[in-house]
Amino acid sequence: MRSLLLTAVLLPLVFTITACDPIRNVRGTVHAAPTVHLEDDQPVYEKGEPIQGAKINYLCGRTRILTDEEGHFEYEDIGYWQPDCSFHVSHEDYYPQIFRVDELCAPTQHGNCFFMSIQAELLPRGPESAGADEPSHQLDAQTVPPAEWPSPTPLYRRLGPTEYVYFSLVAQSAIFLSAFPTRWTGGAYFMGGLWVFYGVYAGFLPTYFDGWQKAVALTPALSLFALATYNFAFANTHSPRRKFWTNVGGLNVAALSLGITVLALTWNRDDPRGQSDSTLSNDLEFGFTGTGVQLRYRF
Amino acid sequence: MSHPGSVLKTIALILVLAGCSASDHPKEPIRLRLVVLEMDRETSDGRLLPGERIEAAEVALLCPDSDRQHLGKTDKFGRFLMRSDDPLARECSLEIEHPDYFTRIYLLDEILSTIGLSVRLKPRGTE
Repeated sequence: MRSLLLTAVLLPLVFTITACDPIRNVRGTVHAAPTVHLEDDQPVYEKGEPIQGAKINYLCGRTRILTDEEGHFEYEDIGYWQPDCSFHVSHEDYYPQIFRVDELCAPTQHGNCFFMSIQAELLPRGPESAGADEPSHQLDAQTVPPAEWPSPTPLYRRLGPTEYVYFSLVAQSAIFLSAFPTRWTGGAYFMGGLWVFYGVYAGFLPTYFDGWQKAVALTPALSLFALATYNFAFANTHSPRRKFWTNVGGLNVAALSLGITVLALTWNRDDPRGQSDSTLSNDLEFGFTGTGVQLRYRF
Repeated sequence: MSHPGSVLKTIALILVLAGCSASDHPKEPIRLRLVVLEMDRETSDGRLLPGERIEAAEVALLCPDSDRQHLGKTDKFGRFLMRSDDPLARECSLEIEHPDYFTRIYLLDEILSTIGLSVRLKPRGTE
């Protein structure tokens, strides 16, 4: 129980406090270089064949990924991709390519990268080049300075409602599962409801609301969950231990609602356009792919 | 008082339905990072000629019911950053154009799941 609390509750809370999103993801495709021909004076790029068994190596770690028969690959674990590092894409029948992290990744918290997309187009080797292994260094030239976004995100905006919600949900899920070891069904309902709720939050609200509006719109829904939590708590008042932990969970949800409201009032105050930093949503949505909840990625 | 499981199931059902109804919304804001290079080439003696970065390649947006929208040009390292909270229709296309290279077009629907895109253009006169 202690280890469960340590890993499932304290760790996410630490991540929340330090504004550190721990999940990193890389995915993409590897194809042969396209051929080009003209149709009615218009160029047509014929996509090359997908390359199965291409190796994607992260040069600053031990990450090794192989593409499937459609040339796709995907990988995620804990950590972040170092901006000054690169991915090396290779296959014995093709010339390799190198992709710099900071050129293809949108930096998020503290300038680190949590999501990489690689669309590699490898040039087939001719018979004369068999055995040679020189990479193309187009994306790895050390003389190329890091690219800056036109409007970089200020540091104080990097911990937003989305992150707060995400890690709080993880913590609350763990609390409830630990609070009801003999009531896994109820705990699962609650946890499942939270994940579904987050799915709605990530997939629905950003479409119609932005910035503080999104956070304000979120508060009533969170209050609803707080109510459901207390309902659950009153149904289990015979055990003091259950009551204690359930109230902890309920108060957590209530605090979450309060926190969202406070953040809503201060969010984007200096931004006359009321834009939200959608980068936050991006990382979190990818993080959820690891839990089996597939959410569509959005920019 | 209602059984807590029923309450939670009802809430979950409502949220699932709300999420499903919203999931096919056609427009989304966009942020994109491009690096534009010319295609690699192989010499007759089997060496690789890595493609150069392409400066001043024009990036434009093509949508079915509107005029061509110029978004900007790549910098001297072939890079282009786009960050817009204005939603874009998935049926739009991204066009990368340079007078010395064959134009390349990406359907936005295909690259919406991509932040960084390495675009490789074929030089004209090499077809």
